[in-house]
Amino acid sequence: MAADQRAVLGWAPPRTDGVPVLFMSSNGVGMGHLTRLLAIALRAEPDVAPVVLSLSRAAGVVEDFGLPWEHLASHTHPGMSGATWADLLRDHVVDTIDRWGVQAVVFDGVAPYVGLRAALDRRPEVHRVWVRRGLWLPGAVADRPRVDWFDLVVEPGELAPVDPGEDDTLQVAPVTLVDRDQLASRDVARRELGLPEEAQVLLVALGSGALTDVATPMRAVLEGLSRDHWVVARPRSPLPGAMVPDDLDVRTFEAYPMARLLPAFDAAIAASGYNAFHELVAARVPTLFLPQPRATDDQARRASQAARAGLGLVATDVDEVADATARLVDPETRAALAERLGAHQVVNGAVAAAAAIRTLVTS
Amino acid sequence: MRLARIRRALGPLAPVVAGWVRRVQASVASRRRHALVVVATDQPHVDRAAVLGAELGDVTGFWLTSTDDVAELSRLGWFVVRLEPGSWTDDEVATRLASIGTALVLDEVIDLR
Repeated sequence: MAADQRAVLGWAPPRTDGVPVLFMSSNGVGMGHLTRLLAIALRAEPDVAPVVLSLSRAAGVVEDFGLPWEHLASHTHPGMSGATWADLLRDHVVDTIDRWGVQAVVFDGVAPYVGLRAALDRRPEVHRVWVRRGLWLPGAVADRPRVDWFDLVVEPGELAPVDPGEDDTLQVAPVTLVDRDQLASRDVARRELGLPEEAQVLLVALGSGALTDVATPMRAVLEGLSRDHWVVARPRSPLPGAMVPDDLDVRTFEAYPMARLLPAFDAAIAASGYNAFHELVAARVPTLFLPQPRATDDQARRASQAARAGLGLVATDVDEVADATARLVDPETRAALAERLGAHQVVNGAVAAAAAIRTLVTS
Repeated sequence: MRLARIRRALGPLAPVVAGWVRRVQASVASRRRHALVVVATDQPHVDRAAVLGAELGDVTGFWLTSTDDVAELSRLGWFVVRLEPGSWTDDEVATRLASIGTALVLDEVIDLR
């Protein structure tokens, strides 16, 4: 039976008598947008009643947080054209707004879908909010949707300020699902993940991506770590193509939110996607970041911000992976990283984002 | 044969589902296509219907479920819609099914009566 994550994280049961606000995330098989949105929804003021609509197959995790949630299969469903799905989404969002009496729709995704825009055009009285990652690849900014269609655009922050261009956005601190004071202790986290108490444990969280050639250097790296008595663990991924060879002695685990259990790890090798990056920094885990190529998200820039601040290591080329990992597991390097991570002040931008949404729907 | 299995799988839910399916049929009557419509509103029904879905793997269809097992149903290749329990009426579900059924260009609507 799944745990009641609200209780685990120390939150009171949700109230349901507030202003209904629909938190809608994109994602087909991933969870990034859903997790960021959930971070904000869970910090809603008591006079706001969040309802979650997610396209992610992993939407069921919301159940453990006590929020009402719904799911519609994403446009990636085989056999369905984009135009057909757009009409379906339009009808579904309109139906959801009407059933719940929704006063605002908060969308987290790279771009608002045609169907979502059509739905909100049919319900013009409903406020429109876009939660938009700030670090866009330079080539993608030109194609970024206009913000003036929204009443509010929230940009979850990064380690360094991001130029929003001419867009009028509310920039908040980095958004994470779990606050620092909600992290499990090292012992508790290891027990929950079934990891040995004494060993040095490395987390590998690369997700999936186009860098399949990383698998070869990763094999050598992980085999070397095993010889040095490191235990390697990785989350079981719903995504195909995870870049850890299947035949290596790697422990797998399932945990959501994984962020709460990050203190279990002495070091990590991770992609620099938004959520994992900021969760690892907040949890003070010395990490080697391997930026992954994405259509819009500038993972390389995010990782380089960490390297410049002394809060992580980065390898931007597969040839650098072995050397960078050697530095990561060096005790002195890790101690230096841990010291700087400990001194790094963390504020969760989800609180400010939730407050801004509340102001919008109650003013 | 298939109809009998589906009726058995849905058990006491079958009459309710039949009403919803009639609405879908009305929406797609002119399309002369086919699809399987299975609606499951609690875990035992999902479990049994999932077995049917696996058996009838050549059929395109969708689920509308009040359970949290969206990921598993998606892996079966079905178009999944999940509504929060208690947030809808039978009429609203029928409307959703008709809309989705039409969008999927059903290949066969199996009447569960």
